[in-house]
Amino acid sequence: MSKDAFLVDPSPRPQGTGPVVECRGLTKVYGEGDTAVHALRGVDLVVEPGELLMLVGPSGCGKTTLISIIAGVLGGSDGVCQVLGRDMLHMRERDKPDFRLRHLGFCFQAFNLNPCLNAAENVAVPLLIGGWAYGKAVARARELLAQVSLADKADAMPDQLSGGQQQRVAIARAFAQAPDLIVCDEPTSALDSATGEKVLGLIRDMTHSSHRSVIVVTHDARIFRFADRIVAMEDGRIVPLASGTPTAGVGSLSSKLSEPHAAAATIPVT
Amino acid sequence: MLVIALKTLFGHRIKVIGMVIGLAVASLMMTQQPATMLSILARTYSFIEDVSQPDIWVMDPMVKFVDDAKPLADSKLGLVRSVEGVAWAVPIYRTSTAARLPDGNTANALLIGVDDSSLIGAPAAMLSGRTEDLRRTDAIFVNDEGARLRFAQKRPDGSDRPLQVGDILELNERRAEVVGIAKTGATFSSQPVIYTTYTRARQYALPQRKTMSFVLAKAKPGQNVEALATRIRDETGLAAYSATTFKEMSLWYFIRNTGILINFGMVTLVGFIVGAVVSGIMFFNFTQDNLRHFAVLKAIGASPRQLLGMVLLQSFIVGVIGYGIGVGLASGMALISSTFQIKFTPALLAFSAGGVILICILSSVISMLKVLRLEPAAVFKA
Repeated sequence: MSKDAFLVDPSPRPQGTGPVVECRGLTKVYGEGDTAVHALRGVDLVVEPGELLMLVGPSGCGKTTLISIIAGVLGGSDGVCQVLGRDMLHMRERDKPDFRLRHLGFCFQAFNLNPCLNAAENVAVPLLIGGWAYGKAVARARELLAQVSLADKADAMPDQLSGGQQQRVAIARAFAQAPDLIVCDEPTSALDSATGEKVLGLIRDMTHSSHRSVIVVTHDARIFRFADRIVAMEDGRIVPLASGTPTAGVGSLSSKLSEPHAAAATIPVT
Repeated sequence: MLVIALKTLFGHRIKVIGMVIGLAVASLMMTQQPATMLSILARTYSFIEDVSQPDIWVMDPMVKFVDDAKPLADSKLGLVRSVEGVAWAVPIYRTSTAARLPDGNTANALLIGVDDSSLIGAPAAMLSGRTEDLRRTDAIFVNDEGARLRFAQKRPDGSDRPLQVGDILELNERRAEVVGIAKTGATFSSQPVIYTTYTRARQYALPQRKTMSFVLAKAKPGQNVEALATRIRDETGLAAYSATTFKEMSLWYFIRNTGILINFGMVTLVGFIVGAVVSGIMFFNFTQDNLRHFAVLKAIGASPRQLLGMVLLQSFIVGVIGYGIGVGLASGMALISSTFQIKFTPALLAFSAGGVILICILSSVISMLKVLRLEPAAVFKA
């Protein structure tokens, strides 16, 4: 990839350009025959631009499989999964890395920072992959670290940072190449309650300010209030949100059902 | 990406040190052992190289290598001279003798008698003295290594005093004065080499009916050396070889009959295997430890080519460091070894570099396969 082939566009994503993610009847089967495991059983899901969507459900319900397919790191079995208008199920493998680099950001449960790189260098990783010169990439990374209030930690190694700080570095990395969609897998599970809320607040703020979309997979009911919409999954399907789910601040079930594009059970935040 | 690769590599210091040590040991053994072997093998034909003037060496047909000289009758010299195409032919005498040193000690030496009039066969490079000095009464040259080592005498303080111009030796109860120190190739047996004239050498040696070891012949301008050697063989019944052929004969005689190639080859192979195994395991462990980070890079959008480039760069860097240390150690060992000249040639250095590159490739192939097969979805596993 040439140095100039990939450049960050820090400007907010224009609104009204259609859904960022659109899944219809998406299935995923691991193995075959009697040993086949149906991880996804016809998922319908739409994520709009600028939306912070939370994907909730018990372990093994297919959340991670779903975001893996959306993120282009796992193939689906059947159905439709379009991300930014591109068919992820039929995209050539060799085209996926470049697509991810240009359009997707990642935030992981275990932070996944490289312990041999300092904070700024970790944030710069997507830019370096994109062919940026080291100095330019690190300078941009320092700006991003300032946005997550870690300007003074740019030279710190990951083991010198707290869990919350490491996750903020990971968030800065996810936003480094100004992606259209950011996929977060349990971003608060390794953090204490207060830190987790700060991290989600930060993700929400950065999402809304740049009008980019975020899918957050989480078990953490304490952060549901940061969602624009919550989608529940169970046994490989989108299901109605269980009663009693602590969704303080989240709108009524009836209002989400009125969403024309929303599949089965989603709850928009009011 | 290169920065990420390098920082990740050097962030694992212990593993890097392990890999470098493995490669350095392999590099050392793959350089030092073949260099030692080359040095030893070069001694098998050093005498032929030192006598640089003749094109053709004529000898008894039963001679298999240069140290296997079988005495010829002096009349054979005239036969060789009579062959058409021979510009000149001179005798050379090569035998063993015992030298009594100024301090009374004795040491065995190789005695070379060169043509009295032309001095053809005398060493070309002199560290002290001149070739013409060999014409002086009782004059001898001694080779540098012999003068420094076997012929060295103890000073009162215990240090060695090399043999010098002006020192007097006793050869076969005859006086011999050192008039020059010659720079020559070391002999296979590390014996000192004494050069004198053909006539004087016969006096210094024990009496023999035949004394001529070889006839050194020069082809006339325009003569094909190999064709002339064939003609000499046909017309004299003696064996005649070009200097190059005779060198190869001597070299291969030692290779075939001493097992030197197998012994040094085995040690070199062991060095290669040890280096490959140690470095391979360390490098694989290093990659294994970083699989999650490779998966992250893959998920973010690094292409297979970029990931392979990272692995290859990391492998190349430890290879270069290991090779440098190994060759440096081999050079250091050569420098501190005053008794043994180790022969480093560009081809040898290329050979050991090739070995290290092969180890690096073998080490990184498994790692590269692991990285290429890595599912980027692994990053979503806690």
